[in-house]
Amino acid sequence: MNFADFFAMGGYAWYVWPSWLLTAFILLWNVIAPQRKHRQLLQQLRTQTKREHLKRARQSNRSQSP
Amino acid sequence: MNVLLKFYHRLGSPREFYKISSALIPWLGWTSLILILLASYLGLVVAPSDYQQGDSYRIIYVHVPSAWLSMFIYVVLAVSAAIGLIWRMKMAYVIMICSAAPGAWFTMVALITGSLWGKPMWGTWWEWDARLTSELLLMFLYIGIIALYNSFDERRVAEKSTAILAIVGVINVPIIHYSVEWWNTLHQGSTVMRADGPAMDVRMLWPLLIMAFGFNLYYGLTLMQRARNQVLVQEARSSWVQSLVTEREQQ
Amino acid sequence: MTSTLYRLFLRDCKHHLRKQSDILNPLCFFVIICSLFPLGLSADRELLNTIGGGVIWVSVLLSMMMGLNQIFRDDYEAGVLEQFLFTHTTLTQVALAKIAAFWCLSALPMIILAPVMGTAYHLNGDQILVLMMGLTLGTPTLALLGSIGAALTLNLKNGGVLLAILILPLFAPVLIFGAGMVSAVGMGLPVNAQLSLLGALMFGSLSLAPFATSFALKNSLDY
Repeated sequence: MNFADFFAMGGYAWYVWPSWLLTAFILLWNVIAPQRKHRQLLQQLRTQTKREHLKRARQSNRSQSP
Repeated sequence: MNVLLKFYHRLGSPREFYKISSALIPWLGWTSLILILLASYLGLVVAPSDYQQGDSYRIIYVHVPSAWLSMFIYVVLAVSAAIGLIWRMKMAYVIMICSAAPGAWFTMVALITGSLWGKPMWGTWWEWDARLTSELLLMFLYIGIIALYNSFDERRVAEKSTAILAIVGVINVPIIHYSVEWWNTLHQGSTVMRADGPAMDVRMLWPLLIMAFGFNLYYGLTLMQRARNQVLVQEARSSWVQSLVTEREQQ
Repeated sequence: MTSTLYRLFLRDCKHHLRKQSDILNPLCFFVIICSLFPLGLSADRELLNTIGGGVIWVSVLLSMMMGLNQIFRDDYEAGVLEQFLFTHTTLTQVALAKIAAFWCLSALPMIILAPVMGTAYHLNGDQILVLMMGLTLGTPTLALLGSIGAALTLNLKNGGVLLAILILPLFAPVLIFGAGMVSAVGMGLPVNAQLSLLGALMFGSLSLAPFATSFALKNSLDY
């Protein structure tokens, strides 16, 4: 297996490799982006829930202390 | 049958869907990765050069699976739109919306790799040939669907409007395809889908089929990821999401 | 049923006739686009004859797009559309009448003007005849398909451009057959196939589109 030949793609390197790389890039991006969004969403929901718990706690405190 | 029905009902509930998709995601991810890598190795290294096109034909392994998938995803989109409209199933709309973006991406991949293949073969980056043109029109349909969904404030109206558009589109897709084909045909004839068996060397064919299967699983993967996010957004106020979030924190 | 349709149709026609800009603006737009192409390309007879059919068809398409946005809007904003929900008149009838009125007042004037434009593009008699036949069979399909898009984008502020994005790709088959016919006649080829296909598209969309439109209207009215 000659690597130089493999990368030359019989003279079509400038067409074959960009196609493959672009595809690989887009496929990777479409997995990474939703995964990142998932993490962000969980984070966001967590802070939101925490804030609401605090609020509720404070309100119940206030109603208990006359 | 009973098991299938049960599974269907479970998928219909957002909470169960979130659980199932989260469990499926690693499996889909690893199998599609292995299949795509295997097909890449077979396609780039093992398969022989084409006697006419040399090594440039190796673009087929990314071009054709994405083109197939771009059409397949549109059908999935329209079918889930119909399910959503007829049975008012919440999750069907989620599948519909979350399919649009991957569909548009695959259409774009098919268009760009087609252009990169066209340059050495036809001597031009773009040719107004039947299949390229109908792929371009498919791209416009995807863009329309995404744009329509995003322009509504209220999700309920957005889902239904998008579903109607998707169904109108899917009725039109074959008409567009045949009219464009009739208008101009330069694209090489289909080399795989033929009644008398594929007109391809087996060593060239296997990588293509494996790649197509890998791409399909990949679509399943990215769909599940997106749908899971969508479910979280939609169900943000529900108790199961809140307990899910707090559970995660305690771990 | 027929009389209801007819009354609705007359009502919409009257409404459009009262606002003359509704009819005249798209028509002026059509004439202007057709006149700009020779300025942008050249006044070469051969060239103009080759592109004439396509240019006129695309101009018709775009001019109809201009008016489509308005097809349900006035009645929607006045709340009339919602009133229809509580009467015996179905939205399908309303949609069909509106589409017919829209076609009569936007497409029909353009079909009548088409020979003038055709002459300007040096089309011969047969080509002009076929152009008019094609427009007559094709523009109802455009109006019917366009009404679905208009109904979907009814309650959106930026509806106009979005409507074009949604609907123009669906117009491709009509454009291909309609413009293809004009150039086919120019080369002395028969056009039966294109005429039948345009007719088929028209009847197909006539039987399906009004229901899709009324469904989309109901959804846009959030009913």
